Order: sequence, then structure tokens, then C-alpha cells
Amino acid sequence: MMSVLDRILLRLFAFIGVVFAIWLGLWLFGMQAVIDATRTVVFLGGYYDLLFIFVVFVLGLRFLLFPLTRRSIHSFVKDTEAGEVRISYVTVRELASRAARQVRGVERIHTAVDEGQNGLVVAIRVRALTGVDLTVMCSEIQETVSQAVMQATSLKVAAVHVQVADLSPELHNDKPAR
Amino acid sequence: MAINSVVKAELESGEMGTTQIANDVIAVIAGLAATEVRGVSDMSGGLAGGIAERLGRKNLSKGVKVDVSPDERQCTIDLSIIAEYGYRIPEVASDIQESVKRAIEGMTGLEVTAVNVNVLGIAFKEEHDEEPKERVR
Repeated sequence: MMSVLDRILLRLFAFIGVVFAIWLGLWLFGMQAVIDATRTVVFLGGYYDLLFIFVVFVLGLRFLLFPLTRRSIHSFVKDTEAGEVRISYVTVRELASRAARQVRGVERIHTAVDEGQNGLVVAIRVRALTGVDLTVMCSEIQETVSQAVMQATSLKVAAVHVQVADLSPELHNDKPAR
Repeated sequence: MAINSVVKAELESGEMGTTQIANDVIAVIAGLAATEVRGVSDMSGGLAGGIAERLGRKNLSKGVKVDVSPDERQCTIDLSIIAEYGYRIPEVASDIQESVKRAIEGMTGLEVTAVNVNVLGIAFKEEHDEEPKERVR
């Protein structure tokens, strides 16, 4: 557990890091406005400077935004009388992935879940096996995924977008793909 | 959780003296009640909890957060769970809410105002071994 003091210190450190990185970057690009104090700093020269500054900058930025980014896990929230039920995006995504993997002709997939206006939206990128009717496969995916998600979570599935992004060079054999 | 454990839920201040129940006790009760529900694969205790578990420290209150109201008569429970594949999550959640509420109210006498269930992941146990291992979060 982090105390409030830790958090403030981390923020401060991150802030100084970012400012420092920007300042060094300006100095490196020969801006006149920067004072001479950095002259004593030993640099490795060339691209290492840039790399160093970049790393400091990214680290600083990361920690500066740290408390914001870990605020909460994305979930679908349902209010029941006994308390809230939150189903995380990860859960829905894994359910959808699993369902999609069971459709014939699917070799590899990448799934993303988002909340739409009227229900959740699943986007699936598929690498398909050669020799499968892609339209049939896609509609089958849509059917299976929305069924599976609805069945398991009772959440409303507004849309299942399928994108066939790639074809596998391997020929389709009759075993169901996973 | 470690911070919460100092706070105590005070019960009846009878003539014989006072009874206090530590938050950790409530958390353990809630954790046990929730794990027994069908469709719950595991409790999810965050990254630190996962590491502690690896090192062999069994934590029964993993994934449970207890908030006791200032008057120490009511509490709300936040649970983080990993669901098991094949169960309907809303049903599992309402089972959890019911049994946690019953367990705490039965054993401590505190009133449970809300049991919030956080489903953080899903575990696929049977059949396929190629499935990704359940996440410890």
C-alpha cells in the first residue's frame, strides 16, 4: 500500500524528471534560452544523449500519469439491489476469444471489447485457414460469440465486428480449430 | 487491507463489556463464503497478493475489501473474483452476494448493506490444456 506521502513524492520526482528531460532536450538542440549550468554534465555524445533524455522523459511521464492510469479496471457495471456486479473487459474478452476459437476455419484471433451505445461491442481480428468459406465463417463467429457472451454474462451484445486480417498458408483440415 | 485490519467493527456494548471484530475477520468470512459458491474459481488478490501466494503465504482474505460504517453496525464488502467458465456470471454473482451476506450477518451480527462483486477474469479449467492459464492478478 502506498501512502499519500509516497504518492506526492513520486509525482514530484516524475515532474522533475519530465522538466529535466525537456530542459536537456532544448539544450541539446542548441536553444539559447537555456542557461549554462549543464556544461558540467558529462555526456556520452551523439545518440546516447537523445536516448537518455528520451528514457528519462518516458519514465517521468509514466510515473506522472501513474495514479491516473491505475484508477480502476474497465468493467461493465450492473447495479443489483444487493450491490454492484462488475464484469471486467478482460473477462468478456476471454469469453469471446474462446467462443471464436471454436469456430471452424479460425486459426488465430485478436479480440477487443468496448462499450457501445446500446450494449457491448466485440471486435475480432481473425487469421483464417485457407479453404474455408470466409463469409460463412464470419457469420458463424458473430453468432457464436454473441451467444456465448450473452449466455455467460447476460450483457447485451450490440455488435460483433469480424475482420479477416490474414490467411494462413496451411490448408484447412477437418478438425475444429482452436 | 493491511491498513484496514486495525479498524474494528464494534458490536454490542452490553453490560458485560464490548465485543469487537477485526475487519480482517470479516474479510476472511466473506472470502470463505465466496469461494464456496459454485462458479467461483478463485479470489483475486492483486499483484502483491499473487506474489505472496506464490511464496506460500495462504491469504484467506485475498480479494476482499471490507468497509465498516462509522457507527460500526453496517458494512459493505467488495469482492474480486475469477469466475469459472461455463457458469452464468450474474447468477454466480447473486449467489455470492447472498451467501456472503448470510455468512457475515449470521456470524457477526453486522448488517451488510452491499456486496459488490468484481469479476476480474475467467478461468477455463476442463478439457483444453492449451488454454491460457488462469490469471493471477
